[in-house]
Amino acid sequence: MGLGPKELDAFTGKPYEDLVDGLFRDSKDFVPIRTTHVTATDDGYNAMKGTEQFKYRRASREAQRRLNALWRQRLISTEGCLREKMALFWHGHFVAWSHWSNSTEQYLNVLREHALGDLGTLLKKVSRSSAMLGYLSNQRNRKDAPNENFARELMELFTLGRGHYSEQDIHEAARAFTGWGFKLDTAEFHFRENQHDFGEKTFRGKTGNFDGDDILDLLLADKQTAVFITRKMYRWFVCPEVDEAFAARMAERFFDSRYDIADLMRFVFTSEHFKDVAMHGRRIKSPIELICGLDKNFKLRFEREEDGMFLQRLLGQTLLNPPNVAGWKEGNAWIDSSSLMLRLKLPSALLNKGNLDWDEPGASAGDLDKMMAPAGDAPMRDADGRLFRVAPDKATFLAQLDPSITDEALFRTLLQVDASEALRANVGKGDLMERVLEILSSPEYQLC
Amino acid sequence: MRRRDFLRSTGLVTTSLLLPRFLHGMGGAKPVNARKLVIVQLTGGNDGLNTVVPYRNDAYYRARPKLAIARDLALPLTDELGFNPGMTAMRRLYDAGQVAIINGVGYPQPDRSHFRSMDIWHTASGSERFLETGWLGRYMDEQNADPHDVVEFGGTLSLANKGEKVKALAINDPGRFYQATREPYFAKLASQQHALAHQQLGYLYRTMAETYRSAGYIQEHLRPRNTTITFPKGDLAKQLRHVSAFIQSGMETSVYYTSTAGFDTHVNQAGNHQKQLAEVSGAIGAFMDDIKEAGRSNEVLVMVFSEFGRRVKENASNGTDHGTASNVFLVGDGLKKAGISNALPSLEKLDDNGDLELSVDFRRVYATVLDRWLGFDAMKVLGTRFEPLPVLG
Repeated sequence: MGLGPKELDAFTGKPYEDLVDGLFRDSKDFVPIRTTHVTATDDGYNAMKGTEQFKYRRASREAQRRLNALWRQRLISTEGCLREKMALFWHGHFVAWSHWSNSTEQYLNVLREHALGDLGTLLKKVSRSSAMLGYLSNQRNRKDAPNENFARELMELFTLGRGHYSEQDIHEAARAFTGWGFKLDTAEFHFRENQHDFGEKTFRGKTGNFDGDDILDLLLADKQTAVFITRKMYRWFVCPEVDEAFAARMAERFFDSRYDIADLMRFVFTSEHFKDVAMHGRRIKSPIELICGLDKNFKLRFEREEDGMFLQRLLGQTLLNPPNVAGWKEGNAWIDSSSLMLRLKLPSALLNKGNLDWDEPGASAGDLDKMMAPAGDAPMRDADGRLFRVAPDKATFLAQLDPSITDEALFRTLLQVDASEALRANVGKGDLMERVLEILSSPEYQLC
Repeated sequence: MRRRDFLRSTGLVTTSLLLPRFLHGMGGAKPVNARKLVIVQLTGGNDGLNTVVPYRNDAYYRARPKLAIARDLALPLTDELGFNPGMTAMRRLYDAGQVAIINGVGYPQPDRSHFRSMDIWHTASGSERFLETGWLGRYMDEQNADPHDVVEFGGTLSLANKGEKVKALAINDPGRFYQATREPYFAKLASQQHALAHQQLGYLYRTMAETYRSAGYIQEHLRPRNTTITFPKGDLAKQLRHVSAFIQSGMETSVYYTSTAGFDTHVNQAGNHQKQLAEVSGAIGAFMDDIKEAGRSNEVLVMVFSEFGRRVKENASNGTDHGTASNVFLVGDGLKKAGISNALPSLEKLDDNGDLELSVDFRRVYATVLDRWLGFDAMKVLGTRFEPLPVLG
């Protein structure tokens, strides 16, 4: 999520490898994110009156909000920043969503715990998480009526990618996952033996009494899984246009290491290819990267917890609430006429009491979104007409800068690309904060 | 520091904006297409069989013991087919000769993934090809159109509306959209376009400049509706109300794109689906009434589609799974042949997955609306010749 000016200074002059080592060292420990939940058994929930169910769902939604805020805090902390950023990548890859906060918490911690571990464990844990089992209808996958939702997305989006499996593979894999379910109160995996199809299946040319784990192992044994996932990582961490030669090396490395994620990332970060200055600033920041970048430097300090989440929705990316099972479309897809203007206006709105009097692009992002935060949940403007109540800490940020800093040095501190002539010509002669704001409100700041 | 001071101190408030010509529009010589196409996208895979119900078909009732629309509840259109009971407004339009129903619309080798199938519809590719631009994006590219030639309501821009050179405008609220582009600092940045070697940065600056220009055009031309029709509640109705205002203002926009989600009915379909259809039907009914009151019903054609239909046989969760061919509606006063345009595909002869075989390639529908409605050579968008349907003259 970027570095503050002081952190940037601290790194200057140190060998690049030390920097990379530091990233991994800081992400060594895993500390789960925890909040409190309402819990009921399936029968208990079904026995509730309508009003009780409503209260239960509302309590769950509030807990989801806390999880969103807690994760956002982790994302901007320097401690563990690589782990959290990897978890964010996996969140957009192994996409799941749940109504229920205890399921969401468990899913989030699986992503975070195994973010830099091995892909096989991550895939198996995610596949058994109640959030995933619920999201892709596997709770309803029974031997007498197989539901193919999970099996299809598993191959299309999570492992092989399109064009590398048949409809037959989907039918057979769905049978292998029959009986994989969960319990509402514990959010734990629960195998319902009487609903599992123990019969013989033929999957990708192999025949056996496969269960779900066997299917996952067969998918991992296919190198195409490494090819598919490393290409996606390349686009996410390096550049939206894939360099085929380098991506192929990534796939080799990943497959040969039996899917060691940390090893792969170290390989990428220390490569000459990654360090090449031509590769810098090629990605358009996702809304989370944009918000967290501002938050990291200026400590936005939302007065109301829900504002932090509403801001994400406005920009089109809400943590723990993906738009659909394919995750967020990255890159240029973040930018259209409407979203670009909103992004440019955001820094002055958040840091300068600017009125964010603006459209709500995220508001129609889909049904799940509506379920999670009905229209009534959107924060109201306060007496001053502000949409967001934030108390940013500009002083601490400014204190890290030399008061006589030149525009050029400011560009280097705040931007990942060279400033265009348009920006150079239009950064005013105001005080330091005004110049900073102008740079933050530029197209250049959208790139990382 | 107040925002106003911030702007003033940058010295931009009083600067007159001398914008290059390309920011002001290309001279306005372009002829305005009087005909407007309004697209309604039903996102999630609408169950065509419970939308246009084969209410005398035994195979339908056998395949859907729980979910079939009861014979006496369907709103009969012909001796064979009837609307879902929620679609009373559409039924009224149908009776007035304003609706054409094209059955069995899809494409060969159907893909049952939402994303892929929607991309196929958006890009007008076959299922074997991947295209990066949308069909309406190419329609704009070919004409060197302004972004506001295609306006999408509802926040984010669909692939259908992304061209190589031109991207359509995505807006929710036109007034706020305009205000945001007029911040003096942004206006200055947008006006100083240079050739930028950096690809992504060039894209961002170009988008900014185009947005500035199109927001100006809309602000200059948009007038409130003069009509008295009350639109129902709901997201789609809100979008169509905006469309009506744009059309009544004589905007040069030729295509409007709206959408509504919630059609992925894997679970507990019955009540939910009918409610969704009632909302769509009510919104389109109000829109057509509004356009009629404005005296422009000859100028407007609505096309309703979804990325696929659903499996003929219901599933074990009181829902239906992803299917293939489904129906497309064309709604308007200018239809040459209203009513049921072709028979429903057979419910007895299904494909290996238990899905309907297609009878009309969706690109024939696109060719119809491009050639016969917008008067635009569909070949330029579709690349191949697709025979237009006789529903439009």
